[in-house]
Amino acid sequence: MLPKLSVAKLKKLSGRHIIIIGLLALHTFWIITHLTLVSKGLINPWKLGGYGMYTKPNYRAKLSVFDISSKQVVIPRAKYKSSNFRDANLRYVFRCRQFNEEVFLVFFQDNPHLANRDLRFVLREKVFSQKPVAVKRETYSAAEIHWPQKDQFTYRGEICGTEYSGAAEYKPKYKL
Amino acid sequence: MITQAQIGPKISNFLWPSSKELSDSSKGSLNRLALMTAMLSVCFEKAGRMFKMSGDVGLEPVLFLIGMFLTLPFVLVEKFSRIAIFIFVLFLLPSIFTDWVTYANHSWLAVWTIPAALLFAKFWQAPLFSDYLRITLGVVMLGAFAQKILAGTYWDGSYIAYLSHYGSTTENMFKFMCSDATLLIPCGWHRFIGIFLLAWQFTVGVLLLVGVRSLLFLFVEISFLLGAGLYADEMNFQVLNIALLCVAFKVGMSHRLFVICCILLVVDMHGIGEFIRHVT
Repeated sequence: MLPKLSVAKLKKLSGRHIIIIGLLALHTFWIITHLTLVSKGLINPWKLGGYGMYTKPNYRAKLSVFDISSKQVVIPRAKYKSSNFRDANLRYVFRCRQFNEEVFLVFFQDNPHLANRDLRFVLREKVFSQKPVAVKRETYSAAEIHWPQKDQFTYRGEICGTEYSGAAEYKPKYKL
Repeated sequence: MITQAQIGPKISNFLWPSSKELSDSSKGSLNRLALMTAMLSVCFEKAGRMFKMSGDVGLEPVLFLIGMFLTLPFVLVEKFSRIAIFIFVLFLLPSIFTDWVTYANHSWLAVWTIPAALLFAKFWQAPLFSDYLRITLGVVMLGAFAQKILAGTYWDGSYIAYLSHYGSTTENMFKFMCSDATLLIPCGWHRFIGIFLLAWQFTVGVLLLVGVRSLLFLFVEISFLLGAGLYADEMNFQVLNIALLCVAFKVGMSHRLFVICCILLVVDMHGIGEFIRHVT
């Protein structure tokens, strides 16, 4: 039987009771919020403490970088570092988080040899289909970088159906 | 006719001695052992992540992890239990701030539960703490159930069919039940398993919330958690759940169950699938 709550009983609650009730309320609120964000495709259900693991295969977004200076050529994975770029993008856990100048500057700080080259960044994730049951990688985000002047770049991209753009100056010794 | 009351104690006696045989101090020590096991699972999860990381982990996280391990024996000592939990939480905090994006869901469960023990001078004597764990686990079960309903991949059995064909060694265990046609339309058995898992998670969530504390229920739930852990090749989370349930049910953790949990944590470092491949 659940205890009946009354104003008198609520007034008798100790500080510990209030903290415990607060923790339960906060945890429940976050679980519901997490569920809502997952339903909108904004976050990875496997992360951020919403207990949505084992509902679908983990998205595991992967980055590919192309050189588009002349024609589109994929840059081999071993030719650039992307771990700091991934961390700066919060490991792609927030699926629809747009790239910004700071994350691009992190990329060029790690890969100065790719500065002043037009590039295309593509994010691909695992997509689960139920009929037929299968998993395939699909592109869900792309962004292009162009250098109108030396050490100055513009970027334009699309993620989750939203377009964004911006510009920044490249400083070779930039630190986030 | 044999009643549940007769069956329950017989089955559960394997893991828990009858509460009538135990003194208050023994019950307290079993509860401290249970919470220490939950903390041990957190340490093992962190150690496993460090081993899997290919790059340099850094000295600081390693020292913090060693610090967490060193606090564990003191959790068992009544006099030092609270301060040991406090130091453990202090060592845990930096990793929450640095790794919050990559933190696994079950690590978050530890964050919500273990530090709450600090609110009580003797958590093993505090009904409010065990109620907090019980309700938290109930909410988590219902949350996980809601996530599965939202994904829609258990109702139709598609996720079970997927794991059966593309999953790891242990996740393939239900492959024999259906032909490859299950990938086109999930077969009856895979649908049944998916719906059973949903029903089970919902039922356990509701029973925990309404306050059922039968030992038989605990025994069946622990068995189920172990089965699910074996299937998903993820024992660390199950050990955390089992340990927290033991505190929530106020029975503590028996030494037998503790040994089983320790073995599972060690095996989980490399994965059960790896262990099976090595043996066969």
